Amino acid sequence: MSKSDELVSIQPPQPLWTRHRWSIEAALAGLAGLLLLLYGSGAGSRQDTVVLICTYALLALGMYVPYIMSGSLSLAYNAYLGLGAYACGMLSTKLGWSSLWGVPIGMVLSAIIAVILAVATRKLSGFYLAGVTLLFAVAFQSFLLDQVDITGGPIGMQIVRPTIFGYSISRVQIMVASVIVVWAVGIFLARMRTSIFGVVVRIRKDNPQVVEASGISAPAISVVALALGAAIGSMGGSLYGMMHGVIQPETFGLHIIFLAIFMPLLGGQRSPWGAVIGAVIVVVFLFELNTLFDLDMLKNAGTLLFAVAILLVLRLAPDGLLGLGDVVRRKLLMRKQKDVR
Amino acid sequence: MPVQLWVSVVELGCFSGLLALGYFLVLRGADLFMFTMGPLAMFAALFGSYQVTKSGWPMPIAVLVGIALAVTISGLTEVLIVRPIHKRTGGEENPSIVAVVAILFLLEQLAGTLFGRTPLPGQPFWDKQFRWGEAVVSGQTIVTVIVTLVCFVAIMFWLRYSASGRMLRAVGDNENAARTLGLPVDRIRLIAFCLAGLLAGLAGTMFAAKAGVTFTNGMQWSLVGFLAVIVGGLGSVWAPLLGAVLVATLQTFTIFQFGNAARDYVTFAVAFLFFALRPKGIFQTKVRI
Repeated sequence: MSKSDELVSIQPPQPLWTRHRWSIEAALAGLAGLLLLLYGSGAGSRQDTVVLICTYALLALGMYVPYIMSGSLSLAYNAYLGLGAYACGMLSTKLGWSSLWGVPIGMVLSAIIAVILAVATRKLSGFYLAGVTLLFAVAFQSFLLDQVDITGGPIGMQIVRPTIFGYSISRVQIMVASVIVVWAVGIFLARMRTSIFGVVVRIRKDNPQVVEASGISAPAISVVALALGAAIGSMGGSLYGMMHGVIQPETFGLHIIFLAIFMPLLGGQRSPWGAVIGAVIVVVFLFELNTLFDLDMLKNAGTLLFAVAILLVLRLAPDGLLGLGDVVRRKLLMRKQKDVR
Repeated sequence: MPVQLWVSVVELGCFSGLLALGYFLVLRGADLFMFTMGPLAMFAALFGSYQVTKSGWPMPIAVLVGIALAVTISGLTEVLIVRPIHKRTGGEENPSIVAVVAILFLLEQLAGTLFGRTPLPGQPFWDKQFRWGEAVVSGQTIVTVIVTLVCFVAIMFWLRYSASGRMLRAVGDNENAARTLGLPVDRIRLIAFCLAGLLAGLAGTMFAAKAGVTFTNGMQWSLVGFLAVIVGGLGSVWAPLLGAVLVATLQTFTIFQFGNAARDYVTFAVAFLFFALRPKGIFQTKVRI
């Protein structure tokens, strides 16, 4: 028996989860998606809730790529979300195109803006990127309110129901498409995270010198991550706009920045699904509880609660809910091993 | 541009200069952009105005307590939030940025919840009016200019001639080396944060007397101070003031010519150009070897 055969033979059998990780992950996410669709098959307002969860999930996934994976914090996510929605609105109402065209156009526009902002600050510390993107977010908000001829001003603008080959897409179909998009983006990012490119992106966060030493430009990796995140966030805005049919500037206010940072931090950083979990928690707690119990205080103080929650997560549970789950699992394993001894 | 607008430039320049000086101190001492400068200024001003107009406190006491609150909140930000995160992450910048941005929004919403969401008038220190040619200069403007100059001169002397001031520069340049040499790094960082809170409290209270104050001012004020320190640079104590006056001139001229929304576009454009072409500002730090 050769040495390599010996090594193979003494390796312990891998557990089921590791061997079929991707299949199990996709199946579990698909099951969660089906449950969400089951919930949305009820009253019409539930379909809005499901699409809102998907919008926020895409926002959180969009933030996950540059912030959690690559360590580049962009604060212009209200603008990316708005670009996706307004692209659908302008193309459908002003040019008479199907609003579906707004999805790729919004994504490309957002990615281009992210690249321009990132390139300007690529050799500076993260504070500069945060600063310039925050200034862009404020300027974008002013643009939406001020340019009445283009954006409709404070009243906003309508989005014509999307059509494909002349066939009008219903609200239920938009809801189903939204869930499928989140599922596909989640799987894509989960696989990307462990791919060679994903590993490089993650190393860039902790040790950019290693990336540079490997002959890869660390700033270029950050720029790509920021563009990808902006495009994903923009997709969320398009879905939201097509579902609601009307968009207004206040939907894309600066509070969106908070949600975008908060959701991946809350859910957990070790997997993109943590960002999706964060989105579900945010929507369920702040919107559904508010509807059920009419907690006006909760609605008014939403940003206040988010701010406190972010600080608590940063101080007490930096790895989020998935991280807490890991800690509990590890403690249970240790206890089990102690009992065996 | 009418002469009266130049008076506004001076007022806005002094206000954003004080905020930028706060940014400067925390940047030099803790290598952190203190995005909470604006909300701290707003909180102090709103507290003072609320206590005078709604609770009937005497103006000097309300103003002093407001400024003291800004100092306390700024110090607590360092001790309870930034320092532990900085130590846990080994100086990683993103968690600190997120924490500072979270505090920015927290202070805005807290002020809105505690003091109401409607604008309040500020409290002038000296409400006399002087005519100077075509322009009218208020006593409040004169007080603002004097306080600003006093603060800048005091900080300059403190940084240059006091032990703690020189240590601030050492800590900011290389925290690990400063710690190895036995410098009281934590105390120096705390001093930087508290001084920034004091400057924010003073700036907010004085500027609110001119323009009034509401809970949403915090973000706007933070960005004005941020831009002033970016344009001015860190090469000299006076650099933030120069940056502030340039930004104030540009913003006042833009609003006068093109309206309020254009101010935000120009602010973003100036920041973008400086980041791309001269990221260390007009006055850059020089190291002599």
